[in-house]
Amino acid sequence: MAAIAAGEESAFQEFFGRHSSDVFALCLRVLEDRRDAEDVLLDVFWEIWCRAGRYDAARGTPRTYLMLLARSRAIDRHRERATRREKQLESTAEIRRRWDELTSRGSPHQSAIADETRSLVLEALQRLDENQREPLELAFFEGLSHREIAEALQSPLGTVKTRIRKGLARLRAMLREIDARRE
Amino acid sequence: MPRMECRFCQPLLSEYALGQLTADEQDEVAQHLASGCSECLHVLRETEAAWGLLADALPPVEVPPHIQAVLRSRIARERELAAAERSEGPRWTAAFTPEQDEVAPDRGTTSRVWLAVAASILVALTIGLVSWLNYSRSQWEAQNRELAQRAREMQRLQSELDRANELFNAGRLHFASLREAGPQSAVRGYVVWDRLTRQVHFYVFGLPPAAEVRVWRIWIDGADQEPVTAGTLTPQPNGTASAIVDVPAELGERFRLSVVDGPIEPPAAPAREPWLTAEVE
Repeated sequence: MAAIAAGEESAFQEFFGRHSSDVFALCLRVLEDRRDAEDVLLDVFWEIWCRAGRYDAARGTPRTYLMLLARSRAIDRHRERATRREKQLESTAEIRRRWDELTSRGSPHQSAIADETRSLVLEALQRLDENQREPLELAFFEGLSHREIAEALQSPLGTVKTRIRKGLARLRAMLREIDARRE
Repeated sequence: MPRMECRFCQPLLSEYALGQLTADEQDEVAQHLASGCSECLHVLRETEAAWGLLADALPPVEVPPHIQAVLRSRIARERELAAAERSEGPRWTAAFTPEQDEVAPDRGTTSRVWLAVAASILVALTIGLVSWLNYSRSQWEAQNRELAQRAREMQRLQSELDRANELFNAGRLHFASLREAGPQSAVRGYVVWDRLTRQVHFYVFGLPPAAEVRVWRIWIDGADQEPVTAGTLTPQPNGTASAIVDVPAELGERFRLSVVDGPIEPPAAPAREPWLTAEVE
């Protein structure tokens, strides 16, 4: 990131090559529309090029910074679009079907995450209880606040907060476990 | 404002990481973190990484090749612009330091009076000069800012055009902006060149108000070809105009479009300098 902030285009291209397919996947998951996802992908990497100096290494890895930035920009676009047309809350199966439709493009894609690590992450996520995973996904991919999640799931606000807190605690524990297994 | 305690801060960090707190809460947490609380910063770092796991679980998706091409082109254009700004020379600054009064030894009341008068004139001149310099500098800086803003706007429009060209079937359609001729170069519309039908679609805006409505003539200027007139643009009361013109086959694939404020009956060549131009290739 320091090299990008210093204007080294080769560092930027390498960063793009390593992470763009993961950022695109995230944008597609949030927006469920290829054109919108492409727009956000462009905006995010342009922002990285123009403002890499804003990245604070004390806050986390460049990848985490990038993914949270992309998520935030995609949610902004999602909200902007939602004011134009009401989005229906879809079932998990419907989201999965649309995801398969959006991403069925053959060939493997370059990613900064090794397949082995991705399997570990998937395995870890599958170990989460559904009632913890669902509010986490609604907060992360749909950009819903705790209150909105409580309304969507018809659960008390306190229950939702507890599930998210416990879910995140489990994710943090899994993260440490993944790091340990990678080393 | 009293400083937030860690026990109140930490439960908010999961929402803070996603920007989902209210503006006041977001500020309070940011202030607490900015105060250097290493424990909360550590929890935030772990929380953000944990949220990131949800994204890591998604299988990567192939990025369309035009995205990287657009980014490369934006970077190149940004660099060209920066180089152009640098070549304009260093920014003019005025550092005016009035000389200290040098008072001659006392030679009597008359010379003191003259000295006082001279000093007053000098002070008045100095104040006047400094004010004028400051005024000129602020004017110059305002113009500079405006120019930079225009350059950024043009860069943005150009990027959008590049992108439109890449997104559409570039084999058939080409987009170009229609700019005012001359140093202003403001965008006044767009043209779409349809290679298949050999037609150019004009979309123009910001034409003179209804009271000055005239008919504008469109000229096409091919390489090594005499300019040919291709049609006219008639402004609507709201200052917009559109037209579709045919491009003769002999003009090939690269040509220049001009919109000229001229007589309705075409002469052999444009009577005046073009008002709007677009390059098509």
